[in-house]
Amino acid sequence: MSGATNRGHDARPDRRRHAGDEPALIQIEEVFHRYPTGVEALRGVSLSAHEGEVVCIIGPSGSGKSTLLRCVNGLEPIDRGRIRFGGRDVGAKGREAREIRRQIGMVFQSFELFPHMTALSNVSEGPRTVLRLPRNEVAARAREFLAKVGLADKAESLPAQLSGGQQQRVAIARALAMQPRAMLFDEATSALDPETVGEVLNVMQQLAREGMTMLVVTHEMAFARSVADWVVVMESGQVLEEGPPGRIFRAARLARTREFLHRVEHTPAPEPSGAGSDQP
Amino acid sequence: MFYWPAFFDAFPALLPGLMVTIELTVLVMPCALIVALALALARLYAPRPLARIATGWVEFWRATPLLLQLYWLYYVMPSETGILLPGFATVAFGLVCNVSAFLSENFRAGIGSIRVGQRHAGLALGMSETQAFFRVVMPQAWSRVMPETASMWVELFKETSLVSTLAVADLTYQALALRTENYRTLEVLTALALSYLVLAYPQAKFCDWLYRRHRVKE
Repeated sequence: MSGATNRGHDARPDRRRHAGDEPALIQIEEVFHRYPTGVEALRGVSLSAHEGEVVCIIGPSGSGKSTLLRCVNGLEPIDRGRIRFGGRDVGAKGREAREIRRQIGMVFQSFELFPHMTALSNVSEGPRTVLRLPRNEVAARAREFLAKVGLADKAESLPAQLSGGQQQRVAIARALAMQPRAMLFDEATSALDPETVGEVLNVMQQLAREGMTMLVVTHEMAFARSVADWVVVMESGQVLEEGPPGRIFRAARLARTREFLHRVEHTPAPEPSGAGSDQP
Repeated sequence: MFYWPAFFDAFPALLPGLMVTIELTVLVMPCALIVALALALARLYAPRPLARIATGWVEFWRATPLLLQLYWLYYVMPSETGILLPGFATVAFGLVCNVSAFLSENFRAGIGSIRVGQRHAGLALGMSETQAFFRVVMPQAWSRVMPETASMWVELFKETSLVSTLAVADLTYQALALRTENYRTLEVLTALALSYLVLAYPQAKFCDWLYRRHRVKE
């Protein structure tokens, strides 16, 4: 809003990392998180995403990527540090937390569609229960977003009647129906059959093109390479390295990053640390 | 020798008792459902001391015989606590406590079986915890506990017969009274059995139908 006049229409290449003239939409500073089990999932993570950016977070399983996403919309409390969304502190409770959450759409690895509701009801649920829009507006909006993900004809289907890819697209429509300012994708394609991964990635790519701010935890390196504006590599609850995809994928600074990338790019399944015994 | 006239004559005499039995069931079950839900929620989500109290309460009512509970409420509670309720209210209270204890265990298991991601999905949309519970978790849990709840309903309908021992004029009470009048034990008790059967069977079937309708496919 402020001072938007003197910023020209930015073309994609130099849209990156503007020189601090505008605060980031999502700002994560030195965040620590320890699970009740004692596992320290996040150990001082900092990263940010500006309006309209796609930030992909990659790294081996168990590196804290998903935990970080859940912290961003307050599903997981943080022990130390600060997370700000649109200048407001996440981690507040009650109404304040809900106010922030409704501006952030989240897509889960296991879809988490409401199995007792049709696709249309799933998409309607947020506008109806949370935004309390009038009935006809709810229906119109739900149909609009189902159509957007290419599932207008599945409105009356139950989740169990849909393929994994279709379910995930409904889940994306459900999040979009809240008209969020940003979207979080938590390994959105990891639970999918290989043949339905593409349809979900296409929807995500389209969203990115429309300028949606996205924080994407993914094992899809091709997606990160071609869609991300910024790539963050995490390991053991810390940011190993970050930068534009071109640099990360072609000339990562750290040997550990290069090792990780080498491993995933030579493993067909999206489960990089499957062996588990590769480290002393 | 089965004396048919006594058998048929028994039904009109049982009718007032039948009304009491139905009243009792219809009154107790909704109350028990609400209390059971409160107990289950207390055990799942309340602060520890409260959860402990709820657990103790449930275990007490589950681990003592219903007949004893009813006797205690009917005979001991008035003299020891000074609380004197009408007979009907006393047994209704006892039944609510007993049935809700069993139901709450069932609810607790059902609610616990819905994975946390569902709650998270609701919260991520901006729902409050209460909304996420009642719009997302509970409908699914309810579908899972429906069959067990349905059989509890039918069970309750039959168990109300215990109140006949406490001068509450239910179906069984009327039958036993009639028997002492005409000494037609065989006919009267057969009529009684048939009454319960005819009434309970459709209820059970109705519950089955409800279950099929609300079943969630995953």
